[in-house]
Amino acid sequence: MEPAIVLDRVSKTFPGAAAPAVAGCSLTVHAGELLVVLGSSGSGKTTLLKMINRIHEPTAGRIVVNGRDVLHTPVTELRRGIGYVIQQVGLFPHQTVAQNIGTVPRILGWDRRRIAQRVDFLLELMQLPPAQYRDRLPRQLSGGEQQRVGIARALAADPPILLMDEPFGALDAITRAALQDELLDIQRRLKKTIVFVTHDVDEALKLADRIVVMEKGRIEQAGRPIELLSAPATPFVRRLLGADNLLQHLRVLSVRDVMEPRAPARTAESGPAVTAGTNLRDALSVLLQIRGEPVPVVDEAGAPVGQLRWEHVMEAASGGRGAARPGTPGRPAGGLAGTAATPRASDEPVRRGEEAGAG
Amino acid sequence: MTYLTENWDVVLRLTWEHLYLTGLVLITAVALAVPLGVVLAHFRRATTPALGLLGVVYTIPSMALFALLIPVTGLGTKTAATALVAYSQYILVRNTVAGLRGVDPAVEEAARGMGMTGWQMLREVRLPLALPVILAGVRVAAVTVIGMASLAAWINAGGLGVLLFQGLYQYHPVKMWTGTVLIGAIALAVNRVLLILETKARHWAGAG
Ligand SMILES: Nc1ncnc2c1ncn2[C@@H]1O[C@H](COP(=O)(O)OP(=O)(O)O)[C@@H](O)[C@H]1O
Ligand SMILES: [Mg+2]
Repeated sequence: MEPAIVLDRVSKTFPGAAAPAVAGCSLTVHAGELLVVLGSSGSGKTTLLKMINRIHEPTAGRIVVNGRDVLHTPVTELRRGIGYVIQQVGLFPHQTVAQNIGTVPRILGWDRRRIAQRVDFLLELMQLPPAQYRDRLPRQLSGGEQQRVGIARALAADPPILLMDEPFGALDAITRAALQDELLDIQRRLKKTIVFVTHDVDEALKLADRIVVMEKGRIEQAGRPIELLSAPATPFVRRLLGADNLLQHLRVLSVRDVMEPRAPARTAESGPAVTAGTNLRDALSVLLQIRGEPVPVVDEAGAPVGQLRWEHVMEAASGGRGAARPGTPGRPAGGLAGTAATPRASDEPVRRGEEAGAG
Repeated sequence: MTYLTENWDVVLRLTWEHLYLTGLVLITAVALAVPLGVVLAHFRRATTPALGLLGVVYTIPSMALFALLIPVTGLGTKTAATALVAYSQYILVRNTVAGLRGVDPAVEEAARGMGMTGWQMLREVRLPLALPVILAGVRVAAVTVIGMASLAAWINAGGLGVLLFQGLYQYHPVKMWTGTVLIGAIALAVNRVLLILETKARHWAGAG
């Protein structure tokens, strides 16, 4: 499939700045993936993101979105096809929730009925009952609700691409976790290409199909979370991700990656079980609870699909090799040395369900 | 007091003239100042010199400004209106610029990011949000213009100032008092109405 976004040796030096904010970054974002740009404050993440929708223009290099050079696309047309979500949300304070969400459809000339239907659909999607929220003003919403509306507004005209700049950075931990879960769910359902900027390693590991680590305007490494953890390209990446902490590795692997498929196991009702999408750190917690007994693995519907044993987790923890176990189809080997800074297609995104020890 | 009962039609006409001049001046002044403010808010470097220039106009004594304009626009309403429009530009332009600059940058960034054109942003987002500050400027300008319009009588532009000058020259205290009270009442009433509008706009623009 055609990549959604391609950055080709893109640089940006602000007028009067001594060093470039973004220096020679090349990156391919595949359609339908959730790519997290991770880096400390000032590393150039926002600048990189804003060049994609041309709020900033690169001083060198080329950016192609949906096959078209952004500099050759009329800027309003380009932006109407790219949802944009920022930390401060930026809802229009003088407009209702419905008017806010309807902005892009309105300027695209949709008729009223269609806009109203779309607004209600999006409010439902964002877990905000339309009857209750439609006519509220932004100041009558909590921070989490405001950002939900912000995301709904960005999705209004169904753009294939979503750019998000630390969208949950100002929210409390519980609201943030809820919105992260919803974002994963939305992406699964709507198949958007999402570029998500954050400085929060936990958030990156939780959300990312692939992570791009930035530092001082450069891309240090790009790859799937487990690749970055098991083969950090630079000491910076190793330190940033806490790659020496094996529990980090367990978080980005799921039970599905290491379990023994279809083992005859007890039925799910007879004791604790984990779903195949559970991450290994949470699964480890379940194993510890039941003193290392094998634990049955079930699918989302609760049907048994395999079993997880203590050794599986041990194996996975020792250098992430669990992910590279021979015979696991469709997965690149773990410890991939030499993939540093080489964007890779993630043919099957690693999805970790958050339902620890569901039974 | 017989003056009032016998001349109520004159007083009414002069009140109307005063209101007409004030209204004409304010509408013209706003129509000039808002676009100018929009342009200046865009060209940041031009703002300080432009406001400086308007500030200088603002400090010229009104009699002197009338006198300067008489050779160009002659005696009468035209000169009075021109001078008063020139006076109000400083307050109106300054407040328009301040109102537009005061719009939350995150709101503007979101609007831009959604692909709104500059014109759409101005009409749907920036001007509505700047409205409370613009209206505050209109209110100050209105009160100032109502007061200064009294001097228009001096150059044959009519208005309640006629009563003030006649009262002064003819030593007719009732005329003077009538003029003073009416001008004050108009100023207070207009101030009140615009204050209500301003509060409404502020609430609407989300500033509570
Ligand atoms: N509009 C701007 N003008 C000048 N310098 C800027 C601008 N935006 C960002 N910078 C500079 O570029 C660098 C990267 O900033 P940014 O992309 O915002 O980093 P991050 O989002 O990773 O915190 C910083 O040194 C910052 O000061
Ligand atoms: Mg940033």
